[in-house]
Amino acid sequence: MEPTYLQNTTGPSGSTKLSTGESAAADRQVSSASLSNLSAGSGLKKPNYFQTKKFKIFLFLFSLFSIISYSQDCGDYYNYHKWVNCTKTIKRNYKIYTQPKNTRIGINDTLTYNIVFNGNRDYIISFCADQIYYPISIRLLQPETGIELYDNATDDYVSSIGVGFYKTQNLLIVITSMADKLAKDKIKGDDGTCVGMIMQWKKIFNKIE
Amino acid sequence: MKKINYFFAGFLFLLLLSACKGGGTNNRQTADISDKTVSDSGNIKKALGYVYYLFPSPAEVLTAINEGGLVYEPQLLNSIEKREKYVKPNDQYLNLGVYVADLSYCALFGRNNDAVIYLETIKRMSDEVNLSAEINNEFIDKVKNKENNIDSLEVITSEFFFKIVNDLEANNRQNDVAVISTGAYIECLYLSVNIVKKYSKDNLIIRKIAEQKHAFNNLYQYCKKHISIEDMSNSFSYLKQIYDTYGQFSEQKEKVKVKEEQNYHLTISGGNTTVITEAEFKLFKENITKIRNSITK
Repeated sequence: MEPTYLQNTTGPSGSTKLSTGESAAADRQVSSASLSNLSAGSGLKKPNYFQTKKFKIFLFLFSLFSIISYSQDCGDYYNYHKWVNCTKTIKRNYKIYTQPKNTRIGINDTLTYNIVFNGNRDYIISFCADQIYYPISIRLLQPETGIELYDNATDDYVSSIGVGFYKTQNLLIVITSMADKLAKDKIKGDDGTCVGMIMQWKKIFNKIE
Repeated sequence: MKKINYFFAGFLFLLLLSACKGGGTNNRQTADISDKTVSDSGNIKKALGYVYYLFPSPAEVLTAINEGGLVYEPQLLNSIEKREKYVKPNDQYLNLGVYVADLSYCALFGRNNDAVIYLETIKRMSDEVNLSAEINNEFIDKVKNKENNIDSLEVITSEFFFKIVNDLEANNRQNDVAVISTGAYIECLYLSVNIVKKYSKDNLIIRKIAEQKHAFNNLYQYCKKHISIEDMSNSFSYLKQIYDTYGQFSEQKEKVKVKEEQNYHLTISGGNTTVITEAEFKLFKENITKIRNSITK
């Protein structure tokens, strides 16, 4: 089965812990109620755990966590680029270009975007993800030859770069999460994270070559 | 009461399952993923991983061609009265794309009234193909309120297109994205080639049309992955014809040069230029018109 984003953090695991604690508390409550009932000789039925108020609260919280966990997937994150740190890179005098894309990436995973860049334009290409998955390697390659045109390793793995084009052409943008071993230890199971990509453009050259 | 308890337990179990499943699988399915590509030539040392082909919206295609100087010729647009003729799903999706391109064309020239008419037509068609959730009145109001603001209209129509794409991809309907986009791209080309009345080597519109080879290539690669159902074979054959024609145009090759500047900025110059001769353009125009008319008939 495919791993799920944030499944390893706040969602079900947190609520499972809660259930254990709540269960114990509820058990204690049931036991004391049963004892007092017995001692009083009332003959009342033993209250069911599932009927307790605490269980209902737990159920509500568990449902909430589950729903949140379920919804936190890249597939539902089409607006991801708008609310994570990508928003910091949006500039007023630039227009959003092409489909902002959100995809899942794990440590050392590589994915590639084949993108059309129009000539006489300046682009800003930005990536954003959970901080723990940084640095993100960004390389620009020529699709036909595979020749590398740029590697952000030379710029300390900056996550936002500007590229000006004179002629319309395709480029491959290859990204890899380069998070170190320390990060890998922190992310147990490495379910991956959503990487948002946003591109902006503005016209730069009057002359068409 | 016991029944209720079992219900709670079952509900709990289902929630647990849903949380575990997440949507990771869905995401990978909906993404435009090509086979892993590894170059044996040695130029690409590392594997590229999954390759996503992204293609511009019809509004972006028209904006790019408009840098060559398009004009507004409303008689070229597909009549909204034909909408009811499109009954088969394939015709509906193709013509939905055609209308989206027409909407973008109206928006490009700030023709709000025409844009609203096309938007309303798209809304009606979208209802028929279960797309209406994303085609709401908010967009119509947005277009109405952006009178004489061409830049905003262009942004809105692009956003509108990608909302449709995202909605469909999220529901595993890449096949539909492919067909709608094919219809839209063909309409963009149809509008552009028919604005050119006379060929000239230096005609900027023709040069911009030639540059759309790259956008078509990406759409073609996307479609190759997603158009598989026999019913959709028409759409793919249209696209393949255009793709093949683009492949026949000659290329002026120039070495790519990269100049790294300050502030994490670089400039890329050079690269290939697609050239269309007069005879090629005439044939291209005829073919595009023929394909478009067979879609909108």
